[in-house]
Amino acid sequence: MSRTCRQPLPLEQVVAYMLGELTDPEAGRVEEHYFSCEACTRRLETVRRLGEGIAQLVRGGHVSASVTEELLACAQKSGLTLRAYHLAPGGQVACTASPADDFVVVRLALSVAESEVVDLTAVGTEIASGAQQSRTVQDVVVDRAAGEVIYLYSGAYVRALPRTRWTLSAQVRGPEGERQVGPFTMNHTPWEELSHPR
Amino acid sequence: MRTGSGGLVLASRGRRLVPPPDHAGGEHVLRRPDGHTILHGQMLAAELSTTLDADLARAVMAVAAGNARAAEAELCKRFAPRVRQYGLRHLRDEQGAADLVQRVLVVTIEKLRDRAVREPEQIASFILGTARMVTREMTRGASRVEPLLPEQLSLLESDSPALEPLAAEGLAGCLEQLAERERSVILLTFFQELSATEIARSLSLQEGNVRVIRHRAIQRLRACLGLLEEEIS
Repeated sequence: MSRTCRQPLPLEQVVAYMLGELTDPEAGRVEEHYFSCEACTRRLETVRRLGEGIAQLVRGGHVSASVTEELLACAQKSGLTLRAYHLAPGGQVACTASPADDFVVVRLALSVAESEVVDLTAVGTEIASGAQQSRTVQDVVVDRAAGEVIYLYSGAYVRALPRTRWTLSAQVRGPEGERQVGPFTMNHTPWEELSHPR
Repeated sequence: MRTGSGGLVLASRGRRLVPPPDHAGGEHVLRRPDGHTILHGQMLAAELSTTLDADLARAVMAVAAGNARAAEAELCKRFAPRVRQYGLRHLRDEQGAADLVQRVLVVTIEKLRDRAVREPEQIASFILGTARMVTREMTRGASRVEPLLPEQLSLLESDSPALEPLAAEGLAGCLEQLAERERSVILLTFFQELSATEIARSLSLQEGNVRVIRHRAIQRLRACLGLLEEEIS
């Protein structure tokens, strides 16, 4: 029995097999290989465990990332609770996260051309202490059809925040140069401190 | 590996065992070329894990039905993960994959015991073919699949368990370390279950570019989680 493989299945082929992207003859060849190969079976198991782990993280509301409208629909369909805030440049909104929210969705109206990329900077200022934190996320996904950057924040992460003013701004980079869009302001109050939560 | 004289060579230690075996006091005995004999169960427990798939199949076929329990157990342990992966891919459901593993291994062991496997050196292809056939039966309708009998289930005592899920905290930390676009593609791939073609359409990217991003992200996650070491251990 071989625990290692002299010609292992390429990772991309293993991923494509698992996701059903291969033609039937291609998938058949992959199967013939891993049925004779412990090492490649382990590689397949690894990728599958990874995929199942990622899906489980999302179902548990433990992920933050820029996503698409379609992914939001998929999350809602699988029973997740989303609290969404829409902001236009220059706009502001009062926001929170209830104990039932799996995710807080921030939707920033942003018209971006195909050739442009967007970096998103969020500066948070704690109301009580004035302490600041800043984070820039480069090359966020833009839902061009919706004309938005849709950012999914873990509900658990948002719930743990104290009263904070978040100022978001987008740096749009393209062949024509750079431009800044924003600010988008979010005034976060913990759910427990709200007298009449939405 | 099959030798010219019909003996069996164990892969790592090169020990040659010559069937047909003898029976002594109800115990199964294999005789070495040097004339020494060893009890089947004793030898197998220590050395089976390094034996070739084909030699395991031959070991089951070489003796009276049911007298090669250790070889049968090793075959089941070895092929259960492969059949499970096949089941998850084609049946897309954990329970279906678990049922498939049981059915395929029962058929395999029964055929080996009946000496109905014509080419034991092709045992992997035989098991794959069986998996394909049983999957077709299962997808035609559950009512057509007979439940396993207790004596068939007893063949599967060493059926290897499913792997532990990855620890959420470690995985979340590794996901956080990815580039933003990599993280988004990973979520679209594994949560929304989109193909590279669909992701390319959704994000206005080239399909090849999506595959590169996906590949890089999975590589980084495997490395971050220590899964590369696990794969080669």
